[in-house]
Amino acid sequence: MKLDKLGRKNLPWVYLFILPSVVVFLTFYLLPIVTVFVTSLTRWDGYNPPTFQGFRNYSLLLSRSVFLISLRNLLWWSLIAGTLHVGFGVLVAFLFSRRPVGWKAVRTVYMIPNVISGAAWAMIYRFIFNNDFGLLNGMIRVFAPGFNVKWLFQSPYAFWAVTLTWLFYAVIITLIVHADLMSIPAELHEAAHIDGATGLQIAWRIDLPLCRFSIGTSVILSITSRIAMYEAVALTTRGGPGDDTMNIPIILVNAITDMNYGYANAAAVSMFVLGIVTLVLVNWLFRMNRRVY
Amino acid sequence: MKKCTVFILAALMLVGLMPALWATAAEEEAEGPVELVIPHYKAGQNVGGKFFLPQVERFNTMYEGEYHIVIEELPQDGYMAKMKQLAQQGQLPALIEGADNQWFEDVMIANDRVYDLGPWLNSHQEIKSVLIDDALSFNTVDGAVVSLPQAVTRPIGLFYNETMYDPGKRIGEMTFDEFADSLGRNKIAFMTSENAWTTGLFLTGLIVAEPGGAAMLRAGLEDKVYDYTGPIWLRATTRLQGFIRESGSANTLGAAYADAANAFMSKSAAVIANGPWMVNDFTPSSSDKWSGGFNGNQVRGDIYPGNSAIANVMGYRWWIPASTPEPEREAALAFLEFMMQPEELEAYMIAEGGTAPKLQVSQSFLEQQAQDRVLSDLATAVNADTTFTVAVYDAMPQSIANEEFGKLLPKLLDGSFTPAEFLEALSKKAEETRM
Amino acid sequence: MADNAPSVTRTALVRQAGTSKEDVKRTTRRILFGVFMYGVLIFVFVVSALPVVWVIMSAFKDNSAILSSPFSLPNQLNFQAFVQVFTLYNFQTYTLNSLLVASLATLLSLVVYAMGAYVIARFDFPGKSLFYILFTLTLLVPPHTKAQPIFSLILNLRLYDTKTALVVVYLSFGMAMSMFILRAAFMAIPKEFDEAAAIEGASFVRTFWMINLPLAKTGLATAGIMMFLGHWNEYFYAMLLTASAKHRTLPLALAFFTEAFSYDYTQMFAALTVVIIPGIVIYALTQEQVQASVASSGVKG
Repeated sequence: MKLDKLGRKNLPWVYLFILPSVVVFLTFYLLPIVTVFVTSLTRWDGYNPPTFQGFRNYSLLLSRSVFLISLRNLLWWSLIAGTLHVGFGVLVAFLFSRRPVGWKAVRTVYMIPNVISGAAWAMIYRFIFNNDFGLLNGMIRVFAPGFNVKWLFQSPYAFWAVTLTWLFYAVIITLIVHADLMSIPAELHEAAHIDGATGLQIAWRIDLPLCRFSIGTSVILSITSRIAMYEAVALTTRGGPGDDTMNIPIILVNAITDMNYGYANAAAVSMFVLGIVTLVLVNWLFRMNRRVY
Repeated sequence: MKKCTVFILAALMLVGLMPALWATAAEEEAEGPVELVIPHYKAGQNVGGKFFLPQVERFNTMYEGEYHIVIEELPQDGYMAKMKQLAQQGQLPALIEGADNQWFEDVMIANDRVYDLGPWLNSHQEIKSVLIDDALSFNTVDGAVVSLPQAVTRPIGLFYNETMYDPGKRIGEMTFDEFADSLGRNKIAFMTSENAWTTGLFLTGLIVAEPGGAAMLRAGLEDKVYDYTGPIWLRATTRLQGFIRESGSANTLGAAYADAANAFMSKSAAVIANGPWMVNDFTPSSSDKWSGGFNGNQVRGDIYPGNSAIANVMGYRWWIPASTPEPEREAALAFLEFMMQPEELEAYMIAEGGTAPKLQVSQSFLEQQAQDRVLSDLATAVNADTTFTVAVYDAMPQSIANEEFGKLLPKLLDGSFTPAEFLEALSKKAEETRM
Repeated sequence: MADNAPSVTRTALVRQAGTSKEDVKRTTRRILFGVFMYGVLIFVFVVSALPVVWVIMSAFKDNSAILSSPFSLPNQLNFQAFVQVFTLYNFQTYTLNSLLVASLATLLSLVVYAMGAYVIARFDFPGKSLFYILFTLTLLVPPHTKAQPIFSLILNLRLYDTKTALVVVYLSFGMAMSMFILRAAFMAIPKEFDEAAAIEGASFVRTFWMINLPLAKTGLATAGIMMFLGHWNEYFYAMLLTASAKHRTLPLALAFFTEAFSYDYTQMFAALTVVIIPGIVIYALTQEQVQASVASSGVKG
């Protein structure tokens, strides 16, 4: 790399300036991640030094039904996130791009659930699902008096109840895709119009493919948030009834509480691996490594 | 314009924070009485706080200028998990009530991290003499007394609302079949979340009603039960499922303790299984929790059908971490001593029931206790044939008792598990805790 | 449909040429599409606003009103539940804690990352791209996975159960997003300013502090707002790293008190309102920046 004049003279200052960021990176990212990987191969209770035991934590993890159920839940949640959730966000973005009356107000309000604490949001939903005074059953009872479902405590409803706490809240996707849509050159649309394409065809044939980078990003973001989903479960069902709504972060936190650190970190590694698999898979699926234009 | 607002807002915030910063800095330097900050669940709306908080205040008044105890509210659900976390870096408070047995033995006692109360008890014979023998021997590990043994035993039974349900005779004298018949359309306040306490107590009664049930639970106190698929468990759980489905109050599915208590104190349920400390909620000072025409004076107490009650003095109670520095340990010991005075023990029994077999109680205490109908109900409900038992929770590994049992119960209730499947799932979870 | 003028004229042209039957078909389709579009928008509005409105409304109703008629409007403005939440449950301490932790962490982050982003944006030096890539890659690390090492780290630093612990940990959270936003902000500043400053003999620090930082204030504000919201709302590490009430933050206090509040739903809703309102207010004041930054970086908090 060629250093410019200003750069060379100031090199000590430059490194001094970047030092704090590097320190933060080392202590809060690199070191923890290395620790997680290394100690996932050990038995460690926090009192005694960790003892190496190979892949035992992983085989334990894989032999337990709670982890397998978590994986199954994650698979379903990821499918729903990648299709319905992202689809809804993209749909709203397309509608916004038509600039209907009041779309800015809707956009503003749509952001609100995302600026609220995840803990508070989970608790709000706990009340929405409450059978005695909750919004949902209250509304359903207007049409079906005597309706009685305890959403968060009954199989199979609990799984869907947890899903509903995030399903429609896709504002981040909407904003990313909307920004992308706005940057599509108007000439492209005009050309398509002249060729006699309908609005739907334009959306499907031109806009969607051109937005595939932002849609791919959305899919990655929404699936990785499902892998890391904690509050939405911990503060509603705690993974119950039975293990119906368990996921990996809950397993991880329970293991930390039980001071089973090696096991906890094996769960953490599984989250990493799943995240990377998602990244690679979606990249390949959406051909995100190729240029759009 | 907007940006301007933001910066003003931020500036205002910082100015507002300055005093807080100073306050935190100054806090550490304050001199005066030794202050103990004790995180505890017996605070706020918790039923145990009704007696405990005023007791702490009495202590603070008595030792004014010398010791001062501050209770910091923690939720009961999760108290022990937090203590374990605190233990990990020696930040335990000076006093902890109760312990997860396995952890306490394997980690705390095994590593000499618990203060030995033995010498202190020896120099306070008046306290040692009122301790229940079984409790003292349970708490003596390798010659050290690891937690303050109980002087008071409190049989746990059930409560019912006499304006809703008239059993006809003492419930303790009934069988569970007779009890089910007498109940009619009345409801029981069960729980199916958190640790499912009221449900677990009821299950204990059902298990003890089975031949060999009490002995099995008793054996489980030392060697936890990991396999729940035996015939005693199956029969008791099948009956439990029947009771929950037939007589569970409307809000049973997903009910936490507060929901069950709410059901009972709003006349949505006529019966609740719980310990005598709940009488705190039946005194007029708790009337803000009552609704639907409920009144504390409608409550009667009894023990479980099949003449059984839960009473376990073989458990760890108040203990002091060995790491507690000298002045704070003195304060903690002073508090234990304070709680064990005859007057305080009597006040405790009047408020939350129980008997102190080795304590010479005063005449006025006996009169006072007789006046409380619910507590005297409980006192007279037990007879020479009553089986005293440990609760199912004492016989289960910690994570099963605290987490999995309550988490699986909704499936038993809504029918997605048969009793056999339920017990199998529970056994599998228990097996996994053994690694 | 009318997203640009030419298409309108073209539609008009097409309409002239078409038969009336096609015309009817087209109009019906347009009406149907309009119904669908506004239907979706109304749905989005309702699912986003209703839960919040319902919570705030319920905080003013008494217990029996909440239980008997969940949809009714409160019949009076009764702030008693809020008073109780603050007096009985120490919410002023928790609010102050949240403010303190979130502001300090945000300010520190801004200083640290502004310095880092500045040199990455303005200077060439060995390792520059590596640093930038590593810093932005941190976005992909789920925060929960580091729970145990960070827990142990905080224990070893003897910071367990302190507000400092939260400040330090939150400091690390905004790394990827701040680098992204701040680097772009510094890159947008013309280099001539720096050169002019160098000619006048201004020091490195002075050039950064007096010239570049003020010019990057939009970026700083955006990154700061996003981080503040994230810190204000954080629950997981607050739960993991603190124990005593003295250091409890609002979201944690909220989750803690479900037991205490379970006899009094009004108080529960009031507590929820106290926790969610500040975030909404900050957002309302700065929504353009929040939305723009989300659209460009794809992250919140």
